[in-house]
Amino acid sequence: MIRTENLCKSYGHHSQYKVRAIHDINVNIAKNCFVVFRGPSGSGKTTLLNIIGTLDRPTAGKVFLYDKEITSFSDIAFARLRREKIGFIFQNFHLIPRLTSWENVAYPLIPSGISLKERFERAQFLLEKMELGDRLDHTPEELSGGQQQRVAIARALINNPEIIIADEPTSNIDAETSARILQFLGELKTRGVTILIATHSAIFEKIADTVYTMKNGRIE
Amino acid sequence: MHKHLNLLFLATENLLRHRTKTVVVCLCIIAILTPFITAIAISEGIRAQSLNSVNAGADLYLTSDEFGRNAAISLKYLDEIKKIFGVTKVVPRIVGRGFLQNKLTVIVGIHKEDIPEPVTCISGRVFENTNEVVVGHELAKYFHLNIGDQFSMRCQQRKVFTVVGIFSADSGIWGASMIFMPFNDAGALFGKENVATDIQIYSLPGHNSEIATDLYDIFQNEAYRLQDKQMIELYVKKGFMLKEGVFSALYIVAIALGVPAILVTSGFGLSERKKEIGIMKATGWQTLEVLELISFEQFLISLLGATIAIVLAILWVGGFRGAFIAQFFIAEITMLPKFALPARFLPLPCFISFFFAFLLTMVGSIYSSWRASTVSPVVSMQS
Amino acid sequence: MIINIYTLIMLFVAFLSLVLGGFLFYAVIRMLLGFKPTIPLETKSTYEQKGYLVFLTACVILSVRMLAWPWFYFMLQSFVPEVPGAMCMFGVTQILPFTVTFLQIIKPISFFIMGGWLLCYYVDKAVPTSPLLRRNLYFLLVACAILLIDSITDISYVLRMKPLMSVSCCATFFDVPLRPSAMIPLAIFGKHFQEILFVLYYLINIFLIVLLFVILSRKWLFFTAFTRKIILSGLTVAGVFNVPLVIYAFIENIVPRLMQLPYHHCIYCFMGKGVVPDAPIILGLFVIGTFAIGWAGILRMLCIQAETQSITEHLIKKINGLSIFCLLASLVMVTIHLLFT
Repeated sequence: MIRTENLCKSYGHHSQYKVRAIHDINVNIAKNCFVVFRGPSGSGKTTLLNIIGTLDRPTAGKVFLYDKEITSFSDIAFARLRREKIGFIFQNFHLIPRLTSWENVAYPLIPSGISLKERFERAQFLLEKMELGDRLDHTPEELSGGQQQRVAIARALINNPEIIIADEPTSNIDAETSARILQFLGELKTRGVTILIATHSAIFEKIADTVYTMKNGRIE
Repeated sequence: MHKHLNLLFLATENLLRHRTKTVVVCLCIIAILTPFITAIAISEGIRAQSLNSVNAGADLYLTSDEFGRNAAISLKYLDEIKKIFGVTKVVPRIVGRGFLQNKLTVIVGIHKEDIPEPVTCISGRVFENTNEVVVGHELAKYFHLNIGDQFSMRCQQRKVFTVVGIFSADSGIWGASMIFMPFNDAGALFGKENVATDIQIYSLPGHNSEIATDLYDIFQNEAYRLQDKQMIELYVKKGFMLKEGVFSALYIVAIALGVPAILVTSGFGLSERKKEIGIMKATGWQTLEVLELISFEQFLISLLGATIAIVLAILWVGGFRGAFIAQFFIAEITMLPKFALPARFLPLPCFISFFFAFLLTMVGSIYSSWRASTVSPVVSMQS
Repeated sequence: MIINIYTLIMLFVAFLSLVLGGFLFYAVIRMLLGFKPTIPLETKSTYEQKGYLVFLTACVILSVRMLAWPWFYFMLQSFVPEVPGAMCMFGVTQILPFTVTFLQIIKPISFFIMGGWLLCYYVDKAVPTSPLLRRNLYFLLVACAILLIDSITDISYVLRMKPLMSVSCCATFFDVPLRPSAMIPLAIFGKHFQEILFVLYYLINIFLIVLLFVILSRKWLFFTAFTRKIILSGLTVAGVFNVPLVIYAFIENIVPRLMQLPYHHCIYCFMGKGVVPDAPIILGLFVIGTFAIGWAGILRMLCIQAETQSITEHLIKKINGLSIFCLLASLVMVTIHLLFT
């Protein structure tokens, strides 16, 4: 489903301090797989996930999604992929502070032309699944870290994506919430969603189909 | 369609959420547009009244010609003019200026039966005897004049007049500084006998050219000037267009300077939202959709700013009588006019103000909108 | 220079267009010079970002020029009191006649070109790989050049315009038997040219509308390529032929009737004097309807490729729908006016 060929990403081309974030990455991820990328800080996990998730472009190499080479896609096509196929869960949650929980969750639906009522209903459904049904009108500052991450997960699921990309989803939350998130991601996998996670935490490796270990921008 | 409506509603919400930026940009727009709209409204109002006066006036205006300009004309041919075929009415008048105490007033010497129709006495009566005058309502109020009061004026000669009537005309300008008096009294005041500043000729439709031919025969070698209503109308229009143009020239400079002001204010607002835009793009928003959202916000701000500017302009004219601005269009009035100004808020100037507001915000925010909407999600979320 | 609010706004708008258009021209040239068929992937992002700036600037310029077109006629109307002898816009056009004629031609052209470019841009962005990028840049270069010429000519006209001479009334031009607008139709159609023009006006416009309906119908899919080519060629020829035909038909036949002045053929009086209040709408609808046919033609010429075919065809359908609406509305408005006058 997802395949990379000799993927490279470098920073600082025009300075003397050129940094290779990832180098010659070749991965092959089947549909409905739970894949963990582990490694120390600076190993290139986030960079790799950003490129696979079309948030960034590689310096060299190719990314294939459903056997289509997407690296040469336009910015608009990338956005369409993110809207229709990919959901993101970030380490720092990245919720919009001035919006309530349900508004944060429903935000990706606005450019799809979905009505306010339907957006609210879909957001409400997901937040209730995340056990946040009583927190619909709370802004992020009124939520705990675990609750914010659950709102972020709901947001990632609002468009029924086929791929979930999670970058260190449990690094800023407590162990109990981490376990709940792990359980939830496991359920998603049973429903056919492909999950890619970058993490230090070993708990995800228990249910992972494949574990890639990264160091200094390469897969070991 | 639903997508664009969603973006429009979201843009409205964003304006309410980011109040500081909305208020600041709106204030910039209001500061630039309000004087402009006020000025154009006053100009249009005065122009309309002037054209009404011209239309209600005579068909031909006869004066003498001295050094290529209008000059006073002798009344020696008055009876001959009245006999010309096609002439229905001949009105000689003296229109001059004199100081009443410290106020410059317009003095109109005219026969009582020739007083224009729009001039109606709200108290007293029209003059019938010598040294009787009818003063404008605003002038009477200014000098606390009542029926029966006397005052003296001096131009070439000193005369004492008695107020027998106070008039109110459709035009506030008329009532502000005008005194009607018998024709002979005006002549005596200015030291001129048997002379008028102009002779108004009312004619049957389509007879102007024959009348002009007959006048040529009457005046023969004497220099005279004959102007018809259309010509006067053209002068009025040209004069107002020039005044509006001069005022607008100043405003174009202000508008041009407003562009960098909007550039700065709108840019501040958007740079704070870089992270939010990054999150939007990470969750599937396209750059064009972000641009559309920002454009809607700018459009709504310009709409709001222009609307408030129009409302404030109406208040400025109605409540403050066009203070500080009216003097661009009305000669010899103070910064704070003492009478209600004629003003017309026509669709075209209001449309121009919306257009300018939109132009200002769009041009001023091109760069900042682009910078904000093309931000890389990865970079913006790291900040 | 004549100073009034219209000339100053025209000058301001023209300077703004010149500055933005100049920047756009420069940006497009730079992008074209830096364009390579295969570019590093990261450079593609930078390229795309600049593309958005180009698009945004183009949109602002387009809205400015769209307003500049009717504003030009407002400005001409404002000159009427200034020009001795002028009774309508026609008199004003007698001063600096070549410049005015040039402006009257280039303004619709620049509007048409920019509209066509926006549609091509839309198609390009709708396809993941943006295959029309380079072509669109060249197209934008042409559009920018026309915009710049238009803006410069506007500025030149406004600065040079002075009422230095007395002009004749439009009646001396439009109301005489040997008027220029009658010469060509008379030569082609003979002495009954007015009636023939009137009939042709309805025939050609209805023919265009019918052809557009055929293109929009489901049967279009079953036509052979050759038949489609014939129909599209017919549409193009009729669309091009319709422009001078409608102009002449209006001047010779429709304008006098709608103004209820049987011998007065001045289209400027028709537009500017308010005798027929919706005259600008009638003409505007005709212009948009005709332009839409042209835009569909541009899309067919420039945007039909394997990758863009479905999107282009979908857009062409919408544009044809717009064309039908506008042409039909214009025709109906004229007909209603003629029936009730």
